[in-house]
Amino acid sequence: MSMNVGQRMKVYMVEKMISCDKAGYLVSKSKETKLNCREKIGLRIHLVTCLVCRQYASQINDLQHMVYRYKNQYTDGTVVHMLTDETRTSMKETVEKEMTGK
Amino acid sequence: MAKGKSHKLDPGRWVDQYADYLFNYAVVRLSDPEKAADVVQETFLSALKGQHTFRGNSTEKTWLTSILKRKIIDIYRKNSSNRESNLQDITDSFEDNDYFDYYGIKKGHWKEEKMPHSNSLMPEGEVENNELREILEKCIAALPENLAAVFVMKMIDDATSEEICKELDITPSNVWVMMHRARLKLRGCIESNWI
Repeated sequence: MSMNVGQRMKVYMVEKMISCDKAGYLVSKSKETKLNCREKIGLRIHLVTCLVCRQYASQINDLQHMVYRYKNQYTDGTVVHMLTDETRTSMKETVEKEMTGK
Repeated sequence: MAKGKSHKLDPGRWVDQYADYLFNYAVVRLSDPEKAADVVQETFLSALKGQHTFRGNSTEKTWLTSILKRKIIDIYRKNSSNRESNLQDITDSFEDNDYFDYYGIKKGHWKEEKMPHSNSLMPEGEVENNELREILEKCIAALPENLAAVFVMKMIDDATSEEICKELDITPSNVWVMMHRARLKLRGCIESNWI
């Protein structure tokens, strides 16, 4: 069966098309490592045609920023979670016991 | 002190001085106050036994934190090696039946109830730091333990994929898939939990 250039192009594109599950994976993978050429092109073509995955990619960017902001709340040394007095006292007793036990 | 840079240990004051800091460090990484308190306790006991290994070229706090860090990684390792249920998460495949359909013409498409519905994961207007923290800690705590471990190592401790592979005995593509699964779940959790 012979195809003209347009048809061949279409078949080629469909073969190269990636599905949403792979696109989502590549969105995430791109945050960890450089995508190779094929992955980059596949993802770009998918995102042009798929609104949901564009929204997903955008939300994953937001998630990255949120975690970054969250992390910075702790790196300045802020203590958010406090031990209960009970736990602290028992911890102290255990340490003291261990120290004098020797 | 003869040398200005040398530090000494003072175990009698450890709990008062560092327990809250260390507890905080552990809660962020284990998402579980009870486990966090236990591991801080163990850290103090190990530190007491290992006092002779303290070289004085770091501060007490740094030294104690490094012991705690080691113990937390040991917990991660135990979690990822012991549990059979984790096997399904340690995989190279990005296919995920919970989030995508795998039948007929919709193969690999988003499931209706799992797909995002807007461009933004943040609600409109200013979000306070503590609101942001609460929702993230809640959603990270809801992750399967091994996904949470990889996510926290990567995003909070800035570990490289190589470090994570070495510590948890997994491959780089395992790490990518696990990060992907963690993000799928976190995104869904955050979107449905903003009030």
